[in-house]
Amino acid sequence: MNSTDVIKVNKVFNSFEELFKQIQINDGMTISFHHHLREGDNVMFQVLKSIQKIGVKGVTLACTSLMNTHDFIADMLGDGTVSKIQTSGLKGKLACMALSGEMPEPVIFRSHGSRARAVSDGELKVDIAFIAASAADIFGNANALDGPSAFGSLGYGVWEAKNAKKTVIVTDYLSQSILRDISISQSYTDAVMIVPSIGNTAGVKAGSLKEKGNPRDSVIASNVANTIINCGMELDQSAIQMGSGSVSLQVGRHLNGYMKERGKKFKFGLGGITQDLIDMLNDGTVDSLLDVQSFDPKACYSIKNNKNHHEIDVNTYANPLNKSSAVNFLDIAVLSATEIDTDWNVNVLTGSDGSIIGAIGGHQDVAAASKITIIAAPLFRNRIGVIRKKVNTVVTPGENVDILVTDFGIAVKESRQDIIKSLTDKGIKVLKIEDLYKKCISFTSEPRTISFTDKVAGIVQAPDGKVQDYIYKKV
Amino acid sequence: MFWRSIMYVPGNTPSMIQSSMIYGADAIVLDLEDSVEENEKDSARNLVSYALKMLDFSGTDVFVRTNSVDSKHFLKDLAAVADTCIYGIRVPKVQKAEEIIYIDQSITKIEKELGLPAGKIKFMVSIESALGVLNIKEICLASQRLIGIAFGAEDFTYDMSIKRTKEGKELAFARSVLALTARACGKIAIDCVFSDTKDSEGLKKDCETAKSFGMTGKSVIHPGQVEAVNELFSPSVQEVDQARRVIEQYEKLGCPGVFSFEGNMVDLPVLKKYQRIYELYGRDKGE
Repeated sequence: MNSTDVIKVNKVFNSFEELFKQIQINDGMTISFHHHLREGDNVMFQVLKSIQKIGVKGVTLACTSLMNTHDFIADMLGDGTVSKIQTSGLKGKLACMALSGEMPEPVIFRSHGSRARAVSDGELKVDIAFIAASAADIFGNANALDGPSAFGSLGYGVWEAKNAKKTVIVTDYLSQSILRDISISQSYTDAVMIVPSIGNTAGVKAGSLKEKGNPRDSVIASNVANTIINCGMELDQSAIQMGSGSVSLQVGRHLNGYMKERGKKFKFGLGGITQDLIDMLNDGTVDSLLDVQSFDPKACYSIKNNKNHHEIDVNTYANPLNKSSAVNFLDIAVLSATEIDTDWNVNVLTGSDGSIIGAIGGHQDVAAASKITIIAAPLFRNRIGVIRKKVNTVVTPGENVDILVTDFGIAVKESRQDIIKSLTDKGIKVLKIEDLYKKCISFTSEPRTISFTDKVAGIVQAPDGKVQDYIYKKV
Repeated sequence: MFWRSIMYVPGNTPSMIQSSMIYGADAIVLDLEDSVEENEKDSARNLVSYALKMLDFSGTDVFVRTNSVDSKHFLKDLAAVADTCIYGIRVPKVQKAEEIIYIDQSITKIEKELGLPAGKIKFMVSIESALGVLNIKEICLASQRLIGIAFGAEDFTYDMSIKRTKEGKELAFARSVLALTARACGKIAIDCVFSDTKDSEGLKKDCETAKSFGMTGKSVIHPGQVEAVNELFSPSVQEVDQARRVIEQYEKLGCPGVFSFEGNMVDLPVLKKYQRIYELYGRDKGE
């Protein structure tokens, strides 16, 4: 085959049948998907249904995360189409199946950084990466910035494309011109599959990204902002990751106002990029955004038009083997928790009833790297306390956490006397985590211990690939 | 005793009661009246009583809004909460001085029965009718135990058969008389709630209007209103700074009865005003 022949190879497919003939999908392969479209994703459904139709069995599903919209995979675990799952998080039916021991193999949970590492060091060998992209051209260049289903950064997909044996771009918009903004180069693309729709971009903001919180969220956000402002860190030219959801959005608004009033500017905002961070970029209170995942489709316009809004891949974001991972330059990180214990260990994956309800995301990576790690959480949710003597699942070890901010007060780890002094000097009351625990159980009483079997339902990896904790099948 | 924001909390909603102290309201009112259906009065009373005994309100002053004195619930409400951590009770729909005397006597009686210190339980009342407005002075003077008068605009406009507007022109006379009389009688004056919880600009204007009448604080119905009300009923940074400088000058001059500050005469009442502002707001609370 000479170079002219290569150019003539048609990468564009309109039918999965033809596509699978070309790329050769077989039993036992590992295939991957990314979750940028979150609850709006329709790509995984179309691909897996087509795989099921041709009778391929024993597929390992390596997803950057799985949401409620992926409940249909339960049937595929039942008929053997899918045999293993590796992900950052699980929800809905799949979470229930894992905990009840119905999965053929324990689920492997990795943070985003850990997955980037696993892909690059060969622990996770992806045979075919199916990458949802909102636009592609006939050569196989792709992005998530153009087309009717544009959703922003393609940060997870980029790294998959670079490391998978084969890469299939799945899109609903084939550009007749070569794309101007190229997130995934044609060099990595084996095929472009055209589908009627890759999904509903409104689903990007669903679930934990809801903007409207309750009044308690506002109190937590105000406490977090106050803590950041008074913790002793010089905010001008510092780097911050704030996460998503109602609390984070409100923290962003507080900090934007504070920085604007004082003419200060964050060096960069990292991670999931919300509309509020984009507002901060436009207001000049943050110099740059490093966007591995856009939590608002409006980010598309910003990435395309603001040279300081950078799309980064997950390797750049948080791969611990990458000496220049952006997380390593973080000064302040605000993270969430389903539970936190009095040894500061944090759980973001399972709830206090043992159910799998969340995802690791970048939690471990960011907490390990940031100079100050703040956990923001209510003291209790409904009647269930968030602070425990011992969390059900250790996702992020306590050594990587510095501050807990709740709606009922702020606790700082004893070893961070610098922060305690700074906050106290500013008139902010600092508690011990044990004090908050006592406050918590004064409302909820001591929680009962949940019983599990000794059968492993999930393995939670640390960023370096070692086992951080196990999730066991419930009794 | 200075409350900028006094937040209503439904007495039949445990989740709201248990977090009611975190929003920064200067005082909260656990409500047994309008937010509780007639068939839930008993359970709400039990819930509020239990909450007052079990919860730590973290220094927030707590009132309980009882049902009105002409209802069958008033004495039961009072009895259920008297021996708790309450600062006082808030009695709605008061129209005449006789009701104040009745409330005072009822509290005095229960204090004796429970062995509580005389005068421990304070009370505020709400004026919510035309007759109530006309009788404010007599109401204010009827009891030493009465600490404040609040205005209830919804029932007032209903009583007057007038429409309540956001601008509140129809309330101007009543609010003005209430604030004026309360101040004259040494009571605090608490403005009515602003019902549109999503209209922050409207809330701001309403607070400014209330403040211009002489109201000392405002009732709020949503945690999201607390911060704005506190801010608007607090003195400005410049006012606090001026208070600090006046006090410094006063001390530097050896605490004279009258002195001059930046060309203006400062006598005892003026000094007291500045001392009060500085005491309440002059402490360093971080950025």
